[in-house]
Amino acid sequence: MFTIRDERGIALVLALILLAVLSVLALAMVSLGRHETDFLVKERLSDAALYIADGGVEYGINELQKSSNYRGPTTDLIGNAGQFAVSVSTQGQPANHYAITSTGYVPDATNPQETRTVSSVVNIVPGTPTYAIGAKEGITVASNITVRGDLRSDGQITLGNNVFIEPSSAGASDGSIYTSTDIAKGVNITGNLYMQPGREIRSRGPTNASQGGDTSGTGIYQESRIKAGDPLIVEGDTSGDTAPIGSYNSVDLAALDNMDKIVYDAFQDYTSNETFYLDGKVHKFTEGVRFSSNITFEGEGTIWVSGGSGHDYGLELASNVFGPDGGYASVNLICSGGTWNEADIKINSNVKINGLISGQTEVDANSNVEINGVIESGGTINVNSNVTIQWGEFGFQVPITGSPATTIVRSWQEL
Amino acid sequence: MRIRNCCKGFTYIELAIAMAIIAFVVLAFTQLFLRSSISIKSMEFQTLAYNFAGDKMEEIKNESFDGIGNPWYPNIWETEAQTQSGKTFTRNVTISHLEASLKRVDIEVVWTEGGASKSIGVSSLVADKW
Repeated sequence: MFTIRDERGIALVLALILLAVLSVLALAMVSLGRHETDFLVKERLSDAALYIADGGVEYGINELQKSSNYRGPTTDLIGNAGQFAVSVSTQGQPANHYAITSTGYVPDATNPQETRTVSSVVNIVPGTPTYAIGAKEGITVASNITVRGDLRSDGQITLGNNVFIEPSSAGASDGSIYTSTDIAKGVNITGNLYMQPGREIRSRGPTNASQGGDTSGTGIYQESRIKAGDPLIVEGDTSGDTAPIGSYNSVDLAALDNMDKIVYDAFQDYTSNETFYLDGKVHKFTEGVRFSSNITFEGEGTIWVSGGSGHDYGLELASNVFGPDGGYASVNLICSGGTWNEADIKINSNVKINGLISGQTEVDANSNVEINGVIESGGTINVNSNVTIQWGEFGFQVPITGSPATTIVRSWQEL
Repeated sequence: MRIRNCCKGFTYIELAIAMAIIAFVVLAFTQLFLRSSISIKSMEFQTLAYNFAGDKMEEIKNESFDGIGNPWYPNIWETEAQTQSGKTFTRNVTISHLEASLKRVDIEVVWTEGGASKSIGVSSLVADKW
């Protein structure tokens, strides 16, 4: 049994316990405050790391705009604020889409106090050459041809009968003819030519004045055959409009090769009445390809012949080649190599294409051909009859050297 | 009785020791609280400074590429001051042209605290998107 005497000193014990409890509480509060402070410091550094990581994405975009082959990885400092590591991947991405992954480190990647990683998908839409028809060595168009856009060559341009050169759209300023060659008959008008008002024909060849009139010695021959448009005639031109372009093969082949593709190692001959499924891919034929008559292209994509020999054409579309329901086939036709008996690319008759046609040495379009896009050649282009070429953007994107048109940021997220 | 008398209350020495201990503990805690409070206040200023810098960074990121750093002033592109929680923060924005199509943005916010100058900074890059 306890007595009063036993409880003596209890106040001291209680006071000590109270002191201890209060001390613990005070320490806990101080510790909480410290943790809060540490958390805030961490959060601020983390924000700074996020800006650094985003800077890395911007760096990646800048590099991709310069070269679509850029893949990194690149590590760089942003002043004294931090360091980023950026890399690019196209795996699983649609054409011309690039997944950029960037990690921001504060203060640096060696001893990071804070790290943030972001991923962004950007679509770098390639540009379109400025001409509807462009060839390095020369262009020959025969009869009943409509070109909506510019004709441009570093060689001679020969125009047949009933050739209509028009602007690519209402209000567009194109629809002119330019040649960089300084030879006589640089632009040789052999039949009726119809143009729109305010357009021009420029040649670096000899002038009427120096040759004593419109003779076979002048740079633009037989201007009297221009039946409409009254274009400005400039011979002996030295302006940038007729500066040689040099390369008329505008496809970035390395970037094209990096795209999602199917490779065909032997010459392919697709017989009549077939449907070819493009599936949003590059179809690379290393030995050439021929599409016979009544071929339907489903979907969109690129047909690319990179080499081969022993055939008349590297890439041939015989006749009746269309997209679904007889519409335009959304396909680019590219021949970048090989040795062919007749031409790189032959588009024979009854063909409708929305895309880029690009050959290394010669491209031929025969009759009843409609092209929405661009036709270009590192050598010559021959267009025969009833052909319409309408300058415009390509249906399926194809990487064009040095001329991105638009960069669109599709997504941005933190990992 | 003698024994009981000798145990009554505390001696002066005991009291002095007890008071010294209590004083020491109280002093330590006071200092701890004081430091803690200064640190929390400092953190508040840092947070305000970072927010001030972050606002500008977001604004710049949404601006056209040509508009960033234009019109051009040497060294510091833009200086702004803002007073919050009784403290004046000065924000300096510096733009560096790394390439024709790439700019570096450095934002520094400066303020004074306890007589000393304090600053924080955030940096990033901005590309000219076609």
